Order: sequence, then structure tokens, then C-alpha cells
Amino acid sequence: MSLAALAKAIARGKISSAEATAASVKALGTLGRTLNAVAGLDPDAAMKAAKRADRERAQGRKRGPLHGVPLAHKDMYYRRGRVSECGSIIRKGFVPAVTSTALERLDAAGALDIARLNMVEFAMGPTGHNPHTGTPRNPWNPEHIPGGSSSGPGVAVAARMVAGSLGSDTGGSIRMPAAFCGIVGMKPTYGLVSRYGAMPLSFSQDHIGPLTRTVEDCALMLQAIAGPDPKDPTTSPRKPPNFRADIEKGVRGKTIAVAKGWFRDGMSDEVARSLDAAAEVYRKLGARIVPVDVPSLDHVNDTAMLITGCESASFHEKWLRERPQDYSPQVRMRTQQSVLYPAVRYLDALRGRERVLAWFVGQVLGRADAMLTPVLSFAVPTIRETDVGDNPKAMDLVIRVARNTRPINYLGLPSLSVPCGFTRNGLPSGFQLVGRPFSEALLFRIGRAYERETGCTDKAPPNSFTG
Amino acid sequence: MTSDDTASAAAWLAAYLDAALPPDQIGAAVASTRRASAVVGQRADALVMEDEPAGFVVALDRLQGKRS
Repeated sequence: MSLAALAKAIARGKISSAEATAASVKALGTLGRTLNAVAGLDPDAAMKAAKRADRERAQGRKRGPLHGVPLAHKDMYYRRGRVSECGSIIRKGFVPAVTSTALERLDAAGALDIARLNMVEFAMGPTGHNPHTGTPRNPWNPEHIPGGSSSGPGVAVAARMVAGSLGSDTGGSIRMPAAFCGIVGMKPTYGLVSRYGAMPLSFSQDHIGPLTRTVEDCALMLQAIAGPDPKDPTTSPRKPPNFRADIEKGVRGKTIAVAKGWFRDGMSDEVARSLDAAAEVYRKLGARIVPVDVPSLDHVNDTAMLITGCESASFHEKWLRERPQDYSPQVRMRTQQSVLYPAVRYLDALRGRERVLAWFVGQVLGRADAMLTPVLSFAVPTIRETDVGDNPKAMDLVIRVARNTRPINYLGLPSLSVPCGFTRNGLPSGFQLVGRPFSEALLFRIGRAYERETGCTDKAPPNSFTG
Repeated sequence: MTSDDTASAAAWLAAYLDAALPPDQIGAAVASTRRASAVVGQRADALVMEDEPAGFVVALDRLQGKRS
């Protein structure tokens, strides 16, 4: 059942929160362990919260649009008094003193927070590998990567354990698990969602957003968490619009730019065909399709990685000094080496963002309402072939995994990942719709049009919870 | 890249972090960070004095819904 349908069913009393939560708890405790999606689960606490939600509903006290709906999130969202371990040894047993704004807003919407989900160590990786917690398994084929760093959310939502999950995206970490697991993910505009109380990776490029099974669900979850927050001074002061108001209005008259040029470099034939097929769907639905020859964004990727390196090294400096052995070798190397970046170059990277953003919106997006690009330019690889620890040559492949998503983080633009079929190896493929700042409602509308036409979110993976 | 660069980088890391990257990684670290720094540096010439990091957030707001 989708998040929207579940919320409605609970609100109308057709299903109790206790029933829905019991099912999710069972799923997380069984399939969730098998697929290694779960970092922490407290069934008693979950059922207690669900029964309270049912009592409140019976008394006419509905908290919000997600009242009683069980959700679970990437284990980097702080909740006062509960551990948040960030996929690491360093943060093992860490109990924060604050609660993240995103969780507080989901609480206010009535949602239940029933489990912590696995992630890449400190969110530093696009594949899902984690030598400390074990790597979550793609429910379409457990030998393949689920994507990272929001690996647990991607798996848990795709495998029908929960209807929605918060992830985070600094280089593609919502969009990659969404695409690799065949679900929907939104990396919103920088500043739309408060980062307060979420573990930072790169405070200039971190974005908080939902992973869900459907486009409408994604809009519903984003609605609950978006908006200004005095605790995060980088949030936009604008009040968010109603993300679902126009969601069924289709794409007639809209212009969608299909990315050529740089986004096509290294693209496999099958991914190119699926992207062109998606464009054809939009054309038949009445959208104007225009090709856009995107010049090289290699420098944007390099600049984004420099910023991430410097900012993460700053956060981790003390631990790198005192406990380097408690990091995985790859995370340790990435953060330690970033100390070598000159401060002036870090500042140049930040100062240049306004110009690059203005250029991209003006010259690349141009008059288009959104740009269509693949999330991954080739079929989802296996866990083994992307295991850098096992095979140093795998690093080249790992770097290519986030190639298409990372520039969008530097730009701070919204990007919606939508599933669009399967590659020959049976794994999902996904495209991303990149829009202007704060155009999430339009991206949902465009994504929904494709979803409605193709049923792209209907199919469940072979390893799904069925009760 | 000279062995002096690698030695300097290793010494800097050791002094700054009280820890060193393994010798087989220091060369790659120097190459990687130097390359990215050069990429950013090349484009720094296009910046004017008044460009500052906060301009990005202002631009996000300004470019909302704008079409060329």
C-alpha cells in the first residue's frame, strides 16, 4: 500500500496503525535483517506508539496527514535520547541531545518513527558498501548494490517494509538508491528542508529528502518536512507551496530538455534507449521535447568533491587525529587527504557557485521546465565489482557511479529520481528530472505524468515483504 | 609531482593530524587533491572581488521560476 493510501486508510479506520506497524515491524525484523537494511528496531516501542496513535484517532485527535503511518529513516537523523550511529564505529552508542527538525515535523504530521536504517559510513559513498555494518542488499538482486549512501532507506522502501523513509543527498545519495532500487526519491532545492539535527557530511551541499514508492508519496512526505527553520539559517524563508496541488495536471505545454553531450558520455546503449523512450512518453503526453547539448561538467564534479572533502575533514578532524583506526580505509583516506586542499581553493569553490548556477539555469535549462538525464549511465553493478577493499581498480567504477548526480548538489537544484524500466541484468534504471530552484511541485507533476502513463512504480522486487 | 611534494604532504598530514596516510596512499592523495585544486584555481580567474559564498543562496531565490 502506498503512503498516501495507508494514511487515508488509517484516518478512515479501515486499518489500524497497530496493524500497519505490526506488519512493518515484522518486515523489518525478518526481510530487513536478511537484506541488511536495519540498524536498529525496537518492536515494543513501535507498537506502543502505534497504539497511542490509534487511541488518538478514536478520540478524534488526528495529529496530521500522516497520523499513525509507520516510517523508518537513515540512521543519521538525531532523536533526543535515542542512539544514532551513522553507519560508523566512531558513533557507536552515540545518543544525541537534540531532535532533528525533519523528524520533529514528521512527528507533528503524526508519522511514527519505528526503526533506524543502515547507511554508508558517515554517508561517504555511492554504492552502499559498509564494512562495519555490512552492505545492504538490493531487493531486485541481492548480489547488486542498492546505491548509497541512503542504502537502507532504498532497500526498505523498495521491499515494502515501510512506505517512506528520509534519506540525505550530498552527491546523489537519495537519487542513487531510489534509481537502483526502483523507487522515487527527491533531492530538493538547497534550503528547502532544514538540515538541523541531521549528521552533516558537507553543510554546503547536504540535502534532506524522502524516498518513497510513488511520486505522490514523495510529495506528501516532502510537504511534511519542508519550510523555514530558525535552527538552520540556510533554510529559505519562503513558505513552500502545496506540492500536490497540480500533481495530476500532466505535461501538455511543458518543455522538457533531454540531456545530450556530457550526460551521454560513457552511457550504455540500453540506458540511452531507456532515456530516449522516457522522452518519447513525454512527447506523446504533449510535452515539447528539446535536446540540450550539455558541455562538460567535470569541473563541477571536481569542485563539488573539493568542497565535500574540506567540509567533511573539518567535521572529522578530531576523530581523524584520535581514532583513525576506527574509520574504514576508504573513508579515512578521503577525509585525511582533504587536509591537503588549500583554503583559498575551498573559498574559490564556494564563491564560484552563484556564477555556475546562473549559467546552468540560463544556458543549460534555458526555457525548459526540467531537464531529463539518467541517474546512472550503465546497469547497476554488483557489490563485488564495486568493492574497493577487494579490488582497488573498482575505484574507477565507484567514481563513475555518482557522476551524473553530483553536479546537481553543487548547483543546489531540485532533482526527482523516477524509475524507468530495467536493464538486461534485471536491475532497475532511473532518470532524474532537474528543475529550477524551488520547482519541486512542477517536478512532481512531470514525474507523476510518466508514472501514471507507464505504471513504473507498480512492480515489486522479488525480495519484497508480502505479509 | 616530485618526491619532495609527496614528502611535504606526508609531513603536513602528520603534523596536522598527528597521523599519516600509509605511504602507498600519500602519492595518490597528493595527485588527487592537487588536480582538483588546479581545476578550481583555473576558474577562480573568472571571479570578481565581490563574488562571495552567500551569493549562491541569493541566486537560488532569484532564479526561482525564471526562464531565459
